Amino acid sequence: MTRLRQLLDRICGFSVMVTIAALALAGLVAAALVIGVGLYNVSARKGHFAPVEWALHTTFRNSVKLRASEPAPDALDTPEMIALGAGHYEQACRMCHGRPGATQSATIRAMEPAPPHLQSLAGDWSAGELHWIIHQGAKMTGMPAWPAARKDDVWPVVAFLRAAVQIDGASYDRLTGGEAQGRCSMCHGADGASRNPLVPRLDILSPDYIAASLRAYRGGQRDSGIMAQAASGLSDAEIKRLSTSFDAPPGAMPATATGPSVAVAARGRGSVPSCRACHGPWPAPLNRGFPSLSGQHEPYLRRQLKLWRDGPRGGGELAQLMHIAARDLSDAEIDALAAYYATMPQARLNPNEGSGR
Amino acid sequence: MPNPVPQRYHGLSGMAWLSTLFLAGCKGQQSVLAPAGRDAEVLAGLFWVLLAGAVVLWLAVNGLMLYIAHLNPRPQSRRMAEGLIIGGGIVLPTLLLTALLIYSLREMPRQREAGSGLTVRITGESWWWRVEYLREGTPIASANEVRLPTGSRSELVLEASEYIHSFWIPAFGGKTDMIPGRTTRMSLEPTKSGEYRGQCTEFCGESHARMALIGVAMEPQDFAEWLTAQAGPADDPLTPQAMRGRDIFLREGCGGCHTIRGTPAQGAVGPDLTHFGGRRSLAAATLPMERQALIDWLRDPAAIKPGVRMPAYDHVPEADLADLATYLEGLE
Repeated sequence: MTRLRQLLDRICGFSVMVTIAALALAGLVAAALVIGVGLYNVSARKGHFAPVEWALHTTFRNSVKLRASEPAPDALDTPEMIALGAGHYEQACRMCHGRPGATQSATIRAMEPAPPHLQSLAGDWSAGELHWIIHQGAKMTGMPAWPAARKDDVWPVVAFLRAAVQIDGASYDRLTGGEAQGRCSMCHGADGASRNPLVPRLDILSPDYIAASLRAYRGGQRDSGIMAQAASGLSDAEIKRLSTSFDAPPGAMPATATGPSVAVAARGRGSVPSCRACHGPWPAPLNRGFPSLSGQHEPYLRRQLKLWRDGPRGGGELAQLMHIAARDLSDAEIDALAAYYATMPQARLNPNEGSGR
Repeated sequence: MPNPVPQRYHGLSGMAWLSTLFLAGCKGQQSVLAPAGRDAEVLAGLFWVLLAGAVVLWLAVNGLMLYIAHLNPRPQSRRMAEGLIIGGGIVLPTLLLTALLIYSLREMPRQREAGSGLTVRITGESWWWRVEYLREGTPIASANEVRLPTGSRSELVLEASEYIHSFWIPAFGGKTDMIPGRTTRMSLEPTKSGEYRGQCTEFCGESHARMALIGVAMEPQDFAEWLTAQAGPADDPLTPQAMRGRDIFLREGCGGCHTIRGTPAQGAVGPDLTHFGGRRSLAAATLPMERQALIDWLRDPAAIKPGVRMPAYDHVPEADLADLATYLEGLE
């Protein structure tokens, strides 16, 4: 009896081992067939099996819901935000998500999964979720991540998507300037004097500064998803041409400050240097790599000063100067400085400057 | 034949040799033992008196031990032992320390006595010294160098911008802390004209060790002439290089932090450079006032002084830095 029992034990132990080994071998063979031989059909002609599709889509939704935590800014659904978002959408997103009042192209609709039409998005997702998806992208869907670390410049696109439900084709054309508008002028205006206060005026900037900024955007040294998209395909020759394509606004640099003076701008405060020694008004010629701020839009200046102070805004080779200069600014000083420069008459630093050093 | 040094004294002679090394640090510019001011003389005098007293006491105590343990080892009376303990352990120290206390309490207010003439405000910045000679109206600004007339008492008003520092020029007098949000005072009366070194003596951050300064004691007449010259605007550049240097200074935004009186540069963050070329040192006595050192400093200050607030100007072409140095050196 005991002999029989021992034999049984041995057979049982043996069969468990064999089963595990057989399963492992089967797995290896299956993997070899799928990966090595190519048995799995990656064709996008047909979608996943319904249960697989359900699993993938539910995972995606829940993953976004779990992670979307960025609080939306107070002024989200403003015409300025929508217009800026529309400009970026036109350049970066329209190809896949279509334009209001028209279906996506046949090729895009053949994608697997097909990108949702922009007018269907805002109903499905909250503002924070849209922000997360745009900034992070989604694996295995064709949705890319935002091409910059900065998060705040994603919000205009969110604002545009929320507004897109009510926008018709004609309004969209008005927002994006239609076919006639060039790449820069869509947002910055044909003369470089942008009408949208979130978008900087370019007519007050020197060609050197514009070129250095475009190179910094193109190379990723300056952190902005919107401008990275706009500048990434530019050649050196195009940058040179674009940098000289805006005429200076009338009026030369004033030798002394006009309007309300701000102490930080004039003499600095504590560890904050005087703004005017680099950004004017200043009675001597200044480095052409410095931007003029006289007449620049207030919301743009405020946002940029906060980026300088709080994080790695980056920029050209002179960016380190400004990171050091701005690190001790208070919110109140930033507001005062933005207002101060916004009320100055628009002017370049060095009147009569040529193009290039 | 000279007596060989017994083996057991080798350690002692080694220590004596080592202590001469330490004492070598007391020679020269930055030494309490080489006083050049009335307060430093008092402190040095006090040091020598204390040292002499300590030597006498040391000899007395050890002599007594030697006598009792080796020369005359016999039982002593209880009366004798109690007399020694009470006399040598309580009465003598009380008398000595009380005398010293009275002497130093009398001396302490004198070190803060209001000066009869000059008042200088010195602010401990990160990591340099802002020096302002107060007068009616705008003070005369300088940095990293304190000049005082000999023979009269000058008052120092001490402040600090961000961190605690301590002001000390050993040849002139004692040290006084500089505390953000508070004003401390001291006064100094240099007696011997010359240049002396001072140092921040309260750990204040990354470049505490590179926060030195130079104290210059001058004959009253020389000092008055010097101060009059300091009150004036900067010299205009004369050579083409220096003129280019001034244009570069105004072009690159240097005026955002620095003031050069007589030019548009009115920044109040860094040292006033109006008479920069006349100073004895660079970067708070970290570097000699030499052309190459100045160019190196302008190119990358943090490489010389970690944590310095001034940004690097390595994007400025080397030839421009050289012209800038020429201009700054000429601001005497």
